[in-house]
Amino acid sequence: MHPPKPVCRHCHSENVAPAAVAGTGAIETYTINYRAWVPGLQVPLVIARVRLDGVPGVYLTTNIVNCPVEEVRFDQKVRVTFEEQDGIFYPLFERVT
Amino acid sequence: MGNREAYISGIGQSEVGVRLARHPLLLTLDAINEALADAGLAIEQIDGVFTYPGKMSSFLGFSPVSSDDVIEALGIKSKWHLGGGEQPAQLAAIASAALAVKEGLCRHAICFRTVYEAAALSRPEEFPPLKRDFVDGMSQWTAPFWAFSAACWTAQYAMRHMHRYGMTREQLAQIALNASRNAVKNPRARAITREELTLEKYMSARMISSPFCLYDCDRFTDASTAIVVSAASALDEVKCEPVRIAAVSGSVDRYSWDQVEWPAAYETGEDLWKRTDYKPKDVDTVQFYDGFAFLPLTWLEGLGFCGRGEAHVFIEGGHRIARDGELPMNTHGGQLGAGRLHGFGFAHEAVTQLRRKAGERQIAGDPRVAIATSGGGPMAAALLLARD
Repeated sequence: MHPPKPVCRHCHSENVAPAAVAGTGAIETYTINYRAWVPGLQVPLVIARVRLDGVPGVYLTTNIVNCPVEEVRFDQKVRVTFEEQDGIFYPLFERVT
Repeated sequence: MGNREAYISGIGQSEVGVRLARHPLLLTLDAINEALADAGLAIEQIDGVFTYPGKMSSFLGFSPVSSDDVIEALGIKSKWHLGGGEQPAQLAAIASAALAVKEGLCRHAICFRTVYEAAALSRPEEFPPLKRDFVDGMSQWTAPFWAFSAACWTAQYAMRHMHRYGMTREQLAQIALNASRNAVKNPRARAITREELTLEKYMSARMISSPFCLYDCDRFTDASTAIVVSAASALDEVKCEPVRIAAVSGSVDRYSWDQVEWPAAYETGEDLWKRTDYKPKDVDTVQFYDGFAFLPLTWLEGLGFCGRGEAHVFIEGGHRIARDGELPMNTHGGQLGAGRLHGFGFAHEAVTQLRRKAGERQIAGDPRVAIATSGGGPMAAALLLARD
């Protein structure tokens, strides 16, 4: 489940813990964002909803990186690539080639 | 007329502008005074106050006035009041007022929504902007990926419609084109829309978040809209033509926008028809929330005016949704053309049309039934309004 909660929304079990997922998935939908919402933001950039492999119904909002924005497609296979900032690792995704 | 019905008995609106100097509480009182005059009621007769989403001290531009502020400022002896964001969507405040008058908790309730986003941005020392150095709740899963705006969240539903059903930008454009054609006939939209938009201008506009360009997104507006809701048993005190709240519906699946497959407009739309004998073919005009141009398409499909995945074909060319079309939509200009009044503008316009008071933009015939909607993504609320 995502986002994490101390109870499962399906069976209401409190026996919940973080679990590793495959780190791969496919692009469910996306948008090419052209607007710099904060000063200095490099645009255009792709904001996507990735459906993760092996966990049906779990999506992650993320960015698709390391490819030109116009080459992003629906259902494209992607894998995670982490970007670290101040000790936090952000899960971004890139195309599986 | 059953004696347990709720009615809209008065509507009012302040000046609608961008960077207005007038204090937001005073704008709210302007809207309330117009609504009271419209209803023929005195402030002493008001005993309920409802608003959405309640005052937000951390984000005053978004919601600068509380129901308590109004009660205090006007000396209202309130028997029931409510303001909060944890409701299905903006128009839920009116639905809650309807429930309260039906139950006899109050007799005449003021509902209002005041927005001050443009003015607040221009006067940050007075109205501090939302702090961006901390995120929690849903934002912690979206903001780190620059998905700050509901434009980016809603755009992803629209992109999927293009992919699955073949919607084009030219088809989507009809929402903004229709809005601007109607807005130029609306005196209260003058600060927002000065001239009709053309398809050419639309197609060459700056992109915000694909497929949305500048004209697919509403803009910050300063205004207040007020709606008076009265119990059937108190209608003999009302001077104007009342409009019955024939049905309401609302839903939220879960608040996380990015985990929801279908916007709540589908479930809310289906539910509305379970609570009335009216059918889609009885509806004379629709006022659909259009904070982003894709949202009215979800309402067309969700309420069954066309099938799922067919709304872009339904609006193609703009004839069906025009003022003289089979289903006139957003006849005041919607939020795209008449400003981001945040949901309440749709109820205001539905009542105006049903009373045949819309002047130059009045739809033809004898309109009896209208729908007003609000919300987007996983939250939605709808009102079915009827003039008996």
